Formats: sequence, C-alpha cells, structure tokens
Amino acid sequence: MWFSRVWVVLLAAVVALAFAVLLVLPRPAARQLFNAHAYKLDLVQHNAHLLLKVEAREAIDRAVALSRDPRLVETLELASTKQRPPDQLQAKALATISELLAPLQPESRPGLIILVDDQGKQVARVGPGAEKIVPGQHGIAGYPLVEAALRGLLRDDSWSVEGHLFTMAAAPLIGRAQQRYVGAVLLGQEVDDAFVRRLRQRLVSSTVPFLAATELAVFLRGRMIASTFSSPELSRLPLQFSQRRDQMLRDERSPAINIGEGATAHVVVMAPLQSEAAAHDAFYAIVGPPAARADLVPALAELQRSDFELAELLQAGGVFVALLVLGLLLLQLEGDSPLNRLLVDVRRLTRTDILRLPDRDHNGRHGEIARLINEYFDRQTKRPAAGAGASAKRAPAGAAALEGAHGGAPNDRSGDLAFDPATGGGLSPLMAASSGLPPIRELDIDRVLDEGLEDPTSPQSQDNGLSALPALDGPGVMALDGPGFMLPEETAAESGTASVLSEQFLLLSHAGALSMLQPLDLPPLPDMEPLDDKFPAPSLGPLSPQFAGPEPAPVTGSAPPPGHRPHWGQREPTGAMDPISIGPIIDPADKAHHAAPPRAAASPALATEEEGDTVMSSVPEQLARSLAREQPAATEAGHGASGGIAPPSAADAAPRASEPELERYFQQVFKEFMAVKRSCGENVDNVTFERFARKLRGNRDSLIQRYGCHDVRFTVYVKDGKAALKATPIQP
Amino acid sequence: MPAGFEPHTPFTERTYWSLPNGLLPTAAPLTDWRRSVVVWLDGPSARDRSRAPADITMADARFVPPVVAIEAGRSARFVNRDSVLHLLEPVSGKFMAAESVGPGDTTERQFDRPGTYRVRCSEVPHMEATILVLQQGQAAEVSADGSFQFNGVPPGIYTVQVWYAGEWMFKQSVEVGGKPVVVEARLRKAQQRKE
Repeated sequence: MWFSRVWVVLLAAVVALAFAVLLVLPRPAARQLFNAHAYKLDLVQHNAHLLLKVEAREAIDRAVALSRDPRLVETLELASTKQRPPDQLQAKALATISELLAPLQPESRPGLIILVDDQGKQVARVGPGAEKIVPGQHGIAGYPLVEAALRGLLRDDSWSVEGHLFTMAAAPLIGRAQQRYVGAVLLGQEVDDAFVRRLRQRLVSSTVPFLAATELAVFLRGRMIASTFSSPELSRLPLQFSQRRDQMLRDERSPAINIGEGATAHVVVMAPLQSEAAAHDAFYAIVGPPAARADLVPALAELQRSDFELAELLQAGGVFVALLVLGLLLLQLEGDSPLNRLLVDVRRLTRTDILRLPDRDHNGRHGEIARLINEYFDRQTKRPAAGAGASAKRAPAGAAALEGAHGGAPNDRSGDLAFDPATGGGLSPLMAASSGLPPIRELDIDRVLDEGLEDPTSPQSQDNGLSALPALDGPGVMALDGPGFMLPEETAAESGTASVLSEQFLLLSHAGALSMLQPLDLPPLPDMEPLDDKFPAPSLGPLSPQFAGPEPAPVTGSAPPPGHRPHWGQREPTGAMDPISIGPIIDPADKAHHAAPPRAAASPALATEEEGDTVMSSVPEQLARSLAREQPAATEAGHGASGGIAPPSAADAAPRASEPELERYFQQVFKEFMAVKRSCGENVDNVTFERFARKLRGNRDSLIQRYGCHDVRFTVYVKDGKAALKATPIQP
Repeated sequence: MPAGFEPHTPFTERTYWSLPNGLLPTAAPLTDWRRSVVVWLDGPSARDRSRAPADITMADARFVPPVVAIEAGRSARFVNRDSVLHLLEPVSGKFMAAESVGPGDTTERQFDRPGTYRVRCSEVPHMEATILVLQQGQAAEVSADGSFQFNGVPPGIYTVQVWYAGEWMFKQSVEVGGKPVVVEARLRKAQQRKE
C-alpha cells in the first residue's frame, strides 16, 4: 500500500510536472518571439523617427526657399524699419504668399505660414489664429523656434495651435544688404490623416508582411488626431503615454506593449514628438500585428511532420520504458506491503493453519482489521448454544431440521460450501464471515445434535429427504404441511395450511435447499434401487485420512411407524453427543465437574453450558422422543417399507478411522488445543495428552454409540478468552 | 557670461535640426540672458521697504523678467500683454491653482513662505517664470553691461548672492561702511539646467 501511494504520488507529480512544463516551457519561446517582434517595431519606430527628421529637413528647405523670395524680404525689411503701416505690409505679404503657394498642390501647401519681423512681431499669418493677430503688435519671439530663426538658425519644431498639431520649420530672412536678419518665415505642416498616410507610405513596404501590417497613429493632448487605421484599442494609448511619460521623454520611446485581445490585439511602440508639442502630450504610435503566440495550444497547432524526429521519439520511448520499469519495480516491492501480509494471514486462516489472525503483527488499520475479525469470531463463539437452540425453537421445527440438514449453516445458499472438511461440517469461519453467515462453531454441533442431521450433500441426506417426504404436490413443488415445512405461497393458500417460514429457511430454499430438493422432481421411486447409482455421493472435500473409511457401509433403511407421516427433514438423528467437559482435563482437581454424569441423548434438556465445556445446545424434546421411538423401529423394520426409502445408517456408511489414525488425530487436536491455550495465556502445566486423549476417546465413543454417526471431529476454538473444544459428528 | 554657455536643452526644446543659414553668422538672442540673473543682498538692514507686487509681464510668448526675487509676504503680479490667453499653473507643487489670464488681464499671487516657485503657461509650454521668495533682503536689476547696484544700504555685514540658471551661483559676505563696496561676481559655466 505504501508503495502504491508512493507510486500514485510519483505519477501525480510526474503528470503535474509534465503539465507545468507544457505550460511553462513555451513561455521563453514566446518571450523570444515577442522580443523579436518588439525589435521589429523598434526598427519601424526608428525609421519613423528618421522619416520625421527628413520631413523636418524638407520643411526647412521649403522655408528657406520661401525666405529667399525678394518680395517677402522687402516686406519684412519695411516691417523691421517700420517704414510702412503694418496693415499694408500684411496685405502685401499675404498676396506674395498666395502667389508663391499657387503652384503647389493643395496637400503640399503648408497649413500654417507666419511672417515675423526682426523683433518677432507677426507681420502676416495664414492658418489657425490668423484672424486674431494685430500686425506689428502681437509678437511670438518667445517661441524658441522664432528666437532661433531670428538669430539666423534653420530650425524645426512642433506646435499645438488651437487643437491642431503642426510640424514647424523656420528660416531667417536676410536683408538685401545681407548685413542683418530682418525677420523669419515659419511654415507649419498639419499632422492629419493625409500626413500620416504619406508617412506610412514612405515607412512601410508592401513586400514585407510585417511592415505591411504596421499602422501609424498620432495623438495630441489625450486624443487621436490622425491615424492610418481605426481600432477601439487605440483609445487606451493616451493613458499608457501618461503613465510612461517621464520614461518616454527620457528614452524617447516606450517599450513594446500589448494592447487588445484576440482580433484587436496589437503590439505598440510609442514615441513623443520632439520639441514644444511634447509638452502637450503629442506622440505617435507604431502599431504592429500581435506577436506570434507560443503557448501550448498555438504551438501544437503549428506542429509539422518534420518536427518529429526519430531520435527524439526514441528518447521519449526510453523515458516511458524507464517509468514503466520503475512502476513495476514499485509494484514488486509492494509484495511485502502490510496489506499483502494481512492477506497471507487471512489465507492461512482460511486454511486453518492458524485459528486467529495475529493482529499484533499488523500495524495500523490492518491490525485493526485483524482485531475486528478476531473479535467477530470471539463474539460468535461466545454466543451460547442455548441461544442457538432457542433460535431453532423460534423457527419452525422443520426449518430447524432443514437448517441442520444443511450442515450447520442454515442460511448458506450453497450446498458445496455447507460442509467444510476442515471442521467436519459447516462453513469455515472465514467463509462464513465473508458470506455473512453465522460461523459453524455456533451451528454445527448444536444443530446437528439437535436435529440429528448430517451433511445435506451426502447421499444419505438426500435419501433421507426423499424417504421422509410424505407427498408431492406436483413436480418441483414441495407442499409440506405442519410447522416448519417449506410451503410455496400459492400452495399454502390453496391448502389453507398455516406455514411459518423462517428467514433462514427461505434463504436456504433459494439455493441450497432447492439444490438439495432437486431429487423431488423425480417421479416416485418404484423400487428399491441402489441409492449410490441414483444419488451418487457428492464431493465433500478432502476429509482427514483418519476419517476416510476403507469401504462404504451398507445402505440401511428405516420404516416409519404405522400411521406416522414423517415430515421432510425429520430424519434419523445421525449423531448426538454429550458436552465435552474440558474442565476436568485442564484441572484434575475439579472432581465434581469431571465426575458429572454424561447427559443422555434422550434427555429433553441437555444444554447446560458450564464453564470450560464445549458449547452444547439442548436436543429438542420432540426430536429426542422421536429418536427414541424411531431407532428401535428402524432396527426392527430393516429395509423397505411403504412410504419411502429408509436412509442408510451413517455409522455403516463408511469405516471409521483406525486406532493409529485416531491417535494421530488426537495428538493433532491436542497440539492445537495446547497452542490455543497458550495463545490465550492459560496454564498448560497440568494438561497431559493421555488424559486429553482419554477424554476425547470417551466422548467420541459415546457419541458414535448414541447417535450412530460415523466419526466425531473435534474443533478447538476460543470461548471467553479460553481454549475450548467442540465435537462435531461426521458422516462419511 | 562665459563663452559657449548653453543651458541644458530639455526634451521639449529638442529639435531635429538647428542649422546655421550659411550666409550670416548667428546673431545674439533677442532675450538678454541678464534678465534671468538675480542679485540678492541678504541682511536684516537690507529689507525692501517697498511692499508693492513684483510685476511679471507675459509678452511675445514669454515672461519678462523670467526670474524675480521678493521677500516673504510680498506678491507677484502677472500681466498678460499678449494677444492670446495664457493659462498659468505651477510647474511642480500646488502652491497655486491653475488660472487663466486673458489678453490685457492681470492676476496676483502672494507668497508668504520662502522658497522657489516656478510658474508656466500650459498653452505655451516654453513660457516659464521663477519666483524666488527670500526671508529678508532686497534684489537689484542687472544692467546690460552686467553691473548691479544697491543704494542706501545701512552700514553692516551683508551677503551678496547671485541666482542664474536655476541655482545660486555666487555668494559673498561684505561689510558696508561709509564707502562704496564693489563686489565682482563670476558665474561658472552651467553644466545643466536644473528642472
């Protein structure tokens, strides 16, 4: 059992470990896949950064080209020197700008154009906020872009103007004398869907699947202002940006993050837009497809035939064989388990190699099982024989007789099991215990002595049954009147005969009795034929050699008295015995007990259990009288009589054991008796084999003489914690 | 101002490109760096008798001056002379609530506890002003040639401090008697602008 548990634990551990490995093992691969995927997105973001830089440079170039226009230079020279009213300069500048932008495609035109004088005051403005400016008064020199341009630098920037995002570029305007900067021109390209689409076209390549699946989105102040695709998951990115703002401003981009689930799953890398718009949470997101999953199920789905290599399969097979060998080894080791040892002891008990289970040799629950079995036998042994007799009395006489005819196991359903050769009759203790039947110790001697029956499977018993049957109400149906007879319900109802069926009787009728009553189906026997031909002796199991007779005894019969209609089962008593007084054997000083006269078989009440005696139940008075009445009749009538076939005499059925065999048997019983006494802690100093054998011999002879049984079997058992003997009449 | 002095450029001021035009040398910035210098005379007798608020003007998308120093208990007044709305908010801390100042409007805030307070415009992120609140003393403006002057200082021992680029870069103890005292402050090169 221990190894079984270990094996189960090991198996569970291996399964759990394998399952955990299956779940965990793909994760490093998944991590690698994600990292590789993230690396691709990082490259895309880096390319986007370069493209934005290129865009900024191209915007600067456009600003430089615009700053070289002589009309704008002239206008700003006039504005810087304040030689013309600002309004006139504004109109002139706007006209010039409009003329310069006319050749450009609408999508190529800047969304914001600002001209500032050398002090940063706005001279003209095209785009958001143009209507609010006062030319020559509203300056924007504080903007780093403007300040840099007025210093003569070519610079780019990003502005958030009235909810719009612009990539800005600025270039200084140099006066015609080329001695100073007279102003600056600022060009702004709005970041809208067209801008990001153009950027994506330059960024991705349709020939690369990963790039083809890459999208762009731009956010400003917590909302998406441009994108190349739409997804509800994009709305989560501003929150992600705000949570990582410091890290992103430091590293200029975020790590790759997963957003969405299932079809809307994406991997995103965010990067802030440089310059001033970054303060307004302006950022762009490179949105890529989700990384390939390397979990268990997706990984299994991706398996291909080429993934299975012979060497790996052989390794797996080797592991399987090793585990199998380990399991078999553990099972082999389990042969020495506590349960197996208990099983061995129980088998010994069934073979009567031992009379009790050595419960102290077993630990834990196994020892408890052994103790419970022993206690059960002890309780069965302690039940007084009178109780069994009373039970028999409560049951109908016929039923009791039938029970007795069944070898002492009235509720045994199998005739084969009813006779235990080891005990001389009835079920073995273990068989009785396993079948739920009372043990033979309680029933065998009492019932046999009470009813005078032998083993029902013996030919003689069957013959007795036939000869005792008064009438048959049809084939296979037994209608018996009188108390204790089995009566089918319908037959009983028709006849109106009151029948009392005991539970044991009913149980017996199901199997054992029916098998025993099988000959009832036969037609009436016409003649006195040899019973052995029609009813061959069944196998009773191996009897001890000392009980094996050399040749069968002649068949004898008994005629019922005139006018007597014997009940079925009320057969010739084949055995009766006096209680065996063990006390005198054990204690020679107990003269009174030892000198007690044996109780006569004809005595109506024999069951007076005494301390140390074998359990005995009383012989029913009716049966005793019948025995006394029929024995002479049978002797006188001899064979044949109307009404049935008389059963053969049990005493003549088989030869009894010879004297040496009997001596050996007594020695065996003596050894067993001494062993039990020692096991019970009794004193065995005063017990001698001579006295023991003499007592057994006397009881045996007395029983054989009185009840005509073939032999007597003595059984040692424990009663009230002491060793006791039980005598069982034996039929051949 | 040491040559090559350039404060650390934060991310919001980084650009892809900042190139010379190739035709003319780069000119000096319009915003004089001296406007960002504060000279403070610390001492019990140097208290500023004026309790009027210190004005900070928002013009051309910048604070002028970008740094002011006041005694504890005085106020700073923000005047919007731009054509656009400015939303004032603290750069860090909660010493003031966000407040919008429209074109031509003003707002005032009293500072009772000494410390450094930074205010910015959320609409024009590069606009940032610093208010230095000191326990006692008085400030002097720096002229175009870099000189500064304290007048009417009673005799005693004082400390001259110079603030620039986000920190006190100079500190010197002086004893004022019956004669003028000259203090020469040299500013070391700022390695990094403290945020």
